Amino acid sequence: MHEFSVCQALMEQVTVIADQHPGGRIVGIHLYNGPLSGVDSTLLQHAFEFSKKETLFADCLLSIENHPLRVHCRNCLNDREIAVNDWTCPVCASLDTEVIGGEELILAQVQLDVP
Amino acid sequence: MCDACGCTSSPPSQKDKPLKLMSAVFAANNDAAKHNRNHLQHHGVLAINLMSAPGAGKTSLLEATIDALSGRYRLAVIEGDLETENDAQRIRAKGIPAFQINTGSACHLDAVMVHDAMHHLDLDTVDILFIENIGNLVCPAAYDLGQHFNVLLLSVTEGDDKPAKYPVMFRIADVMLVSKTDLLPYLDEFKVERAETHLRKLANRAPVIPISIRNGAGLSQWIEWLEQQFHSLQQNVPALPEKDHQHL
Repeated sequence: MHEFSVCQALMEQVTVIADQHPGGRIVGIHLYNGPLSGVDSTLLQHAFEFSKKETLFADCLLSIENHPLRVHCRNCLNDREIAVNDWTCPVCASLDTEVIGGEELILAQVQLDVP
Repeated sequence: MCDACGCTSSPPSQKDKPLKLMSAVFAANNDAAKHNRNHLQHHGVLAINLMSAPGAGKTSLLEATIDALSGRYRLAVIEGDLETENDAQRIRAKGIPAFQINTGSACHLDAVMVHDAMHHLDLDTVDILFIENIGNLVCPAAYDLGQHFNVLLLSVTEGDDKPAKYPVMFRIADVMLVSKTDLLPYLDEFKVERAETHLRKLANRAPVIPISIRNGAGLSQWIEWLEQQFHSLQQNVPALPEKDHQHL
C-alpha cells in the first residue's frame, strides 16, 4: 500500500536531479530492490505507471532489478543466497548469520534525453 | 559520422545521458529520522515504536504500561491511526499527554509526521515517548521514525507463523510481545514456542515476552525491559548542547 508514497519520494528525488540538467527529458529510471526493503516491485511499478501521466515522467520507463537476499555466516564464513523467512545458513545450518544484501531500495540510474 | 575527423565512429552522444546515482529512495525519510533521533537524544527521551496488526492490543498495552510506570517516569504518546482521536483520548484519560496523527488513507507513519507531532509535545518533560504506529505488519517496517527500539506485538489470535509471513517487519523487532495469552487455553493451534522459532529463523535474538493485559502475566518482565533501556540510554546522553534545531 505504501508504494504510492515511495513512488512520490522517488519522483521528487529524480526531479531534483533533472533540474540540474536543464532541458533534459527524463526517459529512464533504474532501481535495485531487495526483498527486505519493504517495497514490492510490482506494486511500485503499478504506482509509477499510474502516477506518471501528464507529469515530467510521462515518457519515462521504470525498470526494477530485484536483488536476492544474501547472508554472511559468522560460523562457516560462507556467503549465500537464502529464502526471505529462513536465514539459516544453507552450508552449516547455523543461525549466526548477518544480512549482506537485500535490504536496499536504490536509485541506481536516471536516464536523461538531453537536447 | 564524427565531426572532427570524418571517421565512421560516432562521437559520445549527449542523448539518453545515464546518471549513475546509487542513492537510497528512502533517503529523505532516513534524514528526517536521524534528525528526530538527535532531537530525542538531546532531551534524554527514550522513544519506542510500537507496531502490530490491527487489534493486537497496542493501546491496551500502553494503558497498562502507564499504570505501571506513572509517578516514576514521565510518559507521552504519539498515536497513529487513519481516523479518529479514540486512542489519544484513552491515553489522555490516564493523565498522559497524547498527540493523535490521523493519516487519512496512509498506511504507515513516516519520520516527518512524527517530527511534526513531537513539536506538539514538551520533550523536556518526557522520559519515555511511545509512538503507536498504524496497525499494519507491512508498510511501517519500511519507515525509520527515529525511534530507539521497535516493539512488536503478536496476539495469540493471529497465528504463530506471523514472523515467517511478515519477515520484513519481524526481523527489525527489538522485543516481541506475544499478547492476549489469557486466551491460549482456547487456542490449541497457537504455540508461543513456534512463534519464537519463526522469529529465530530470521536470525533475530530479541527477547520474546508472553503477556496478558487481562491477567497481568508478563507485564513485570516488559516493564523491566523498558526500564533497562531507559537507564542505558541515560548513561549515553551526550553532554553537548544540541545544535540549533532546524525545522524540517
